[in-house]
Amino acid sequence: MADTLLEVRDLRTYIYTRRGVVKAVDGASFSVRRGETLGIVGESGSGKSMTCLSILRLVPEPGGRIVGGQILFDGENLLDKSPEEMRRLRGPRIAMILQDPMASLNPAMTVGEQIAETLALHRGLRGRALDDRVVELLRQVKISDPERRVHAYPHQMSGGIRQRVAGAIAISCQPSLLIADEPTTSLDVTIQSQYLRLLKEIQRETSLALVFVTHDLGIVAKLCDRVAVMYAGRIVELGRTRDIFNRPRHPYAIGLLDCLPTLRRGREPLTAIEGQPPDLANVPEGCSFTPRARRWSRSTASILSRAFAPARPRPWAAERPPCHGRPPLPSPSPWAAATSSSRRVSSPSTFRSPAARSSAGDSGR
Amino acid sequence: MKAVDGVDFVLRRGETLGLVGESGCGKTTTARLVLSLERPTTGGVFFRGRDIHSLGRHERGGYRRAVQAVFQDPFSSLNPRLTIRTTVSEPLAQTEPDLTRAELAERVAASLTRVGLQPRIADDYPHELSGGQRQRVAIARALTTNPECILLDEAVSALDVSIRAQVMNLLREIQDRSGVSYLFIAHDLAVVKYVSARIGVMYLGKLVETAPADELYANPLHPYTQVLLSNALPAHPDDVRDEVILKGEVPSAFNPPSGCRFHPRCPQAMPICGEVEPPLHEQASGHPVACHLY
Repeated sequence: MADTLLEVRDLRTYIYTRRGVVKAVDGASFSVRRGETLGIVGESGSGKSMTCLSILRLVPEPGGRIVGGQILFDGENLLDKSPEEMRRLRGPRIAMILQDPMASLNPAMTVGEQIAETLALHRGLRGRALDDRVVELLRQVKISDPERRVHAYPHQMSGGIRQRVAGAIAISCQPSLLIADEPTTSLDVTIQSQYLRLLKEIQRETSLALVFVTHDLGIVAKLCDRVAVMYAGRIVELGRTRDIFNRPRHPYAIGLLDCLPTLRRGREPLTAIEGQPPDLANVPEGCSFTPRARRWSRSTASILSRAFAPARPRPWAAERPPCHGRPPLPSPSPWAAATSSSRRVSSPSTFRSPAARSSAGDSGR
Repeated sequence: MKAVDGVDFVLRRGETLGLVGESGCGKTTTARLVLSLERPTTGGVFFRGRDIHSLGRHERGGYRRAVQAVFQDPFSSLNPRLTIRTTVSEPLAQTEPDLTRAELAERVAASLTRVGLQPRIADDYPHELSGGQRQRVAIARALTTNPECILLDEAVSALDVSIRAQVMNLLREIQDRSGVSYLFIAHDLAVVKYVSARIGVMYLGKLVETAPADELYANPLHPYTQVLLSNALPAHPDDVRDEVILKGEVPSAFNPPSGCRFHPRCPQAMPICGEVEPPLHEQASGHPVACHLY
C-alpha cells in the first residue's frame, strides 16, 4: 500500500520481572496510513501504551525488551536503527504526547524554552527566527496571548493549557506521525472537547497521521477513522470505526460496547464483562479472552481455546477479528447462520477443525 | 475563596442525586461539607431535619454511622498496611465499639458478600487486589454500618470500563435491596445519568440547574448544561451533534465574575447577566434553573 506510513507486524514486547515474563505486547499487527487517525482502545494493562513506546523504541530498560516483529516506518524497519538514528527520528518524524502534561513538561523551564529546545536541536533555529516560531506554535495550539505565555512555567498554567503546550512541542518539527497516549484523560469535559477539536484541526492543516490511544470508546467514535481493539497484548479486532460500532465481531469488542453507559441509553442494567483482564505474566493458553467470554459455555470454550489460539488479524491482508466464534469477513459461512440463531455452540464437534479453519482463512484473503 | 456559594439541594430517602460539574466547581467541597469534614461559613447541612454541625458528640456518632463515603481512588483510600478485615471493620469499631470479635467478623463477611467478594479475602492486603476489587472493598466498608446515605465522590471514575459497569450495577443492586440514598458526584454525564434519579449541575460554586435525570437530558435549560451535554462524547460515530465550544476556562473562584458567574463564557449572555446574579427558581415543576433567560 503506497500510502501506508507505519506498519507494525507481529510486534512482541516482553518485560522481564522477578515474577516472570510479562508479555505486554504479544503479536500485535496494524498499519497506519498517511493522514489517518487510528484509535487503539483497551483497558489498563492491555498493552496499548507499551505498543506506542515500542514504536518510539522507548521501552523502559532494563527489563523491557522488544523480542520480535517489525516496525516499518516509511518502509524502514525501526528495530534495525541505532539509538542515534532513533534520536534523530523522534521529534522531526515521529512525536508523542503523553497522558500527564505535568509529568512530561519540565517544571523548571519556561514553556517557551521547552519548545525552543526541540526546534534548536532538530531544526537548528537560533535567535529571532526561533522566538518567532515558538510564538507561532503557541498560537497554532490556540493559546491566547502567546507573547506573554512563552515566559510562563508549567505550574502557572491549567491542565488544558499545559496539554496544549505538550502538543506544540510535539508538532514543532512537523512530524508525519503523532502518537497520543490518553492525552485528554485528565481533562474536563469541555476542555477535552476543545483539545480534540484542536488535534483534528492541526491534522487537517498538516496531514499528520495520528495514533490515538484511549480507553474511551466515545473518543474513538468522535475522532478515529479506524480502530484497533487490544486485549492482553494482542489486537483482537481491527477495522473501520463505523463497522466496529455497528457490527463488533470479537466478544471482547461486543462486551466493551455493551458496558458503556451513554446519554442515549435508558437505565437498564449494563451488561458488564465478568471477571478481570488476565495477568500478563500468566496469560491463559489459547484465546486469552475465553475465561470472560459470555458467548460460550465454559467447557466448550476451554476445549476450543486449548485446541488452538485464533489467528491474528493481518492489516496488510483482509481485516478480520481473531476469534473462533465469528466467521471471517466478508462472506458469512452457513455455520455462522447456525450460531447466530442459537447464540451458543452446544458441542465442540460442530466447530471446524484447525485445518479447515486455516484453509477457509486462506481463501478469504 | 468561596468554594461553594449558596448551594441548596435535598436528598430524599432511597434516592440518588447526581452532582456534575467540571474541576473547581465545588463538587468535592460540597462532599466534604456533607461529611462534616468542613464547616460551612453560613448555612448548614440538615440530616433528618437537624443541622449536623450543631449535633452533640453522641448524636454525631449516629450521623457518621448513617452517612458513609466512597472516594475516587481505591489505591489511596485504603490503608496499605491494614488487612481488608481491619479496613472494613473500622467504621464499626468507631460507631459500635461494643461488638464482640465474632460479631465483627460476621458483619465484615456479610459486607464483603454483599459487594460480590469472597469473605476469605478479609485477611489479604490491598496490594493483593485489583482496582475493581479494591473499590468493592471501599463500598463494603461503607456498607458495614448499614448507612442511610452513601456519598460517592467520583467513585467509578478511576475504573476501567468493564469494571466500572460491574461496580455501577452493584451500586444499583445495593440500593434496590437496602433503600440507601446516594449522593453521586462525578464529571461524566453518561455515568451520572445511569445512576441518578435527579441531577444537579454546578458551576463555580453555584448550583445552576437541578432536574429529574431524564428531564435534564431531554430539556436542558441553563446554557452551561446545554454546553456540557453538547460536549459529551458520542456513543456512535454517526451520533454527530452541534458542539458549543466554550471559550477559555473556568475562572478562578477567588475572584468570580460579577452577576451570573457563567456570563463571560455564555453563548447567550445579555447585558443584565453581568450585573445581577440570577436566583435559582422553578421553571417546570421540579426543574429549578438559575438563568436570566427564563
